Amino acid sequence: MIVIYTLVFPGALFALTVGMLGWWLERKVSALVQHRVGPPWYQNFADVFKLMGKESIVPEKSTVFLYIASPVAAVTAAISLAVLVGMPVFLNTNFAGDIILIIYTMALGSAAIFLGAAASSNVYAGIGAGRELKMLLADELVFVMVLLVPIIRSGFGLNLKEIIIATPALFSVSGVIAYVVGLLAIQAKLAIQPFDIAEAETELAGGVEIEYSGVLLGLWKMTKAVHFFVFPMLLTVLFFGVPSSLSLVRYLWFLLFYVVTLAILIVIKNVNPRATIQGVLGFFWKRLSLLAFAAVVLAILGV
Amino acid sequence: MPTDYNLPVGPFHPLLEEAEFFKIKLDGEVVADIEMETGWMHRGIEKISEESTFDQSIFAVERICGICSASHPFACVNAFEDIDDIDIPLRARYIRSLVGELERIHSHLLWLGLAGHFIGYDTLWMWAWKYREPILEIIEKTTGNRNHYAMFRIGGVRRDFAPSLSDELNEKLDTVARKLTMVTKAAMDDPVLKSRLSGVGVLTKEAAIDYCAVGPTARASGVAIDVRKDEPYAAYDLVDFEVVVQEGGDVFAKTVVRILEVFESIKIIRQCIKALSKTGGAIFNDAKSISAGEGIGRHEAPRGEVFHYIRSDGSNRPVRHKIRAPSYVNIPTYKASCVGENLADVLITLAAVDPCYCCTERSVKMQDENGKELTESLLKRSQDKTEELIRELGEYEAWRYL
Repeated sequence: MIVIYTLVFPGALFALTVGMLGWWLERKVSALVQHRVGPPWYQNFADVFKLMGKESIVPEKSTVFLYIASPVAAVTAAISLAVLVGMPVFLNTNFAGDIILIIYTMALGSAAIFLGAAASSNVYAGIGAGRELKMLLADELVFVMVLLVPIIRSGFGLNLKEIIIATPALFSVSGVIAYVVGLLAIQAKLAIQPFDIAEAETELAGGVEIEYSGVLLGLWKMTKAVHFFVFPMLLTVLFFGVPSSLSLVRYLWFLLFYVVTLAILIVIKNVNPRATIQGVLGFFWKRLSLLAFAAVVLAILGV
Repeated sequence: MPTDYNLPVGPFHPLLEEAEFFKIKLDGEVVADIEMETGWMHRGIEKISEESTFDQSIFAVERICGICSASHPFACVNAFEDIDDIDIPLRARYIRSLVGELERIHSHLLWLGLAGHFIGYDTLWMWAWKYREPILEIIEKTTGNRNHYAMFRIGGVRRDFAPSLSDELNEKLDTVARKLTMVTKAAMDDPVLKSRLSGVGVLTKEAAIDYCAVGPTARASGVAIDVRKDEPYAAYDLVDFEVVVQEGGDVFAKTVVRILEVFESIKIIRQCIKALSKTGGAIFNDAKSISAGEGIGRHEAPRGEVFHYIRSDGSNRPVRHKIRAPSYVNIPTYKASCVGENLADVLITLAAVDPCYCCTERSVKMQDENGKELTESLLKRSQDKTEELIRELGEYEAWRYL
């Protein structure tokens, strides 16, 4: 059974499909905002499919093992994350582990990006790797505090299945604050504007991914696609909750608020220029962490 | 990983529309030093012009740059007319100014879009370029082409402005002005953009004067120079417009200067269209020949003053044609504005002078005080190579290959 969970639903196949459609939605809506036509719905599938048939060039001076292992680790971590979050949401089943495990698995993805970039021994990737690490330091603390709010609201349970069927955290002041802060943290985790500073096309020419090609680049794309599914989903179910019984209503409920969350992310993306790394560190540590902390305090006070 | 290393930006990089090489020495994320290497876009335009007849060289210099393809011929005909003091009919003067200003609008909008793209603000990029499109349509209606207008000839212009276009042009300008006000609001009043660009890459007034910066780069640093006002040519002394000056010197000030200049240009174009409906007469004085002598021509291109020097010996070709594009003096200001800044800020600062590398690249010979050559002359290398080919293959065969 676990094989089906991991490979089909809600794991690899499902997460990739929904993630790529979510990613396509982001690209398409951005294009419409910018008076462009935008890609067809299957563009991301076609991209990854094509990359799978291409040669992966490994740079001569790179650390070969890390260079190859990093994208594999990243996509594995992303799919595990999809399973860990997806099982309680879609199947109402529990897994051996709680929200702490989810936090660890999330950090693993960023660590893999950092290692892969550092292993490729390219100066652009090197700068990108440094930025990725700083980004992780910036958004991780905030995101953990954001996760604490629904945990506190649902009575200090760390079990995701119980958190999501409790009263939605958004019905409180602390929940609203945490959701807004969480949106920005998700934006940073997905590395879309204004937080695409580790890739920064016009500065670092792709940054962390610059040396990757073929199958390995396809793995990075798949990681990104799964992230497009998992991160907004996690935020959605934690703050909007889901109906307690497993039915079609539950799936539609989830779909509705997943799209809402994604739409807000897309709007933020399209009205902001790329931030600088100092700006991001300052923004997350000085402003958002205070806000998130205030939300945690408010949640403890029961507001 | 060492803490200081060189980041090569170029010769091919998403930041640069053209091939150019910046060697950025980084200390962490802070830029310690920048070196620039030129020579990637050299095409020997001056030599081509010197081998062409006067009429041909106007077309040759038009090909220097696709964006400012009215600026170089404008300055070039100014230089030719300076040799013989040729008079230009009033109607032609208005048409010249009209084309010059249309080009300024489309060039500034192009820059605004690119700047948006460079700082990762793709919405601004696409919007600015969308509203550049009606301007290009106006240019096509007026001159017959979207780029490379071929409007200029010695003594006037090649193509008359049809009076029937006036209404349509005014209408399109209205639309563009309205849309631009919206883009301006999105760009200038946006707190995020303001905080991203304010105080970035400051070029002080002293540094701008020291580096002889021209155009919007200088005007954003509080130096009010504009050839159109300082030494009017064409119809610029007959129309009413302001020279936009900002004191900030940072990238935001440069953006503001360019956006406000677009509105000034729209003002000039409206006045030109109005004047053209009242002014009749010929559009050129036929100049049969150019006598021996020297002439200089200047024009306020979108990026600043472009300068052409022409020496004629009474034949039908220029003996010497020297071109100095505005980017030639604007690009080196990176020495004053970039060192010590963060990488992300430096890259937008490099782009903020609106550099045009193919305009800039002239073959130069650098000598020290004793007359010893410091750099290899590109022209000499090219001539040596040609001679070597001729020696190896024989003249007939070599010319077949060239």
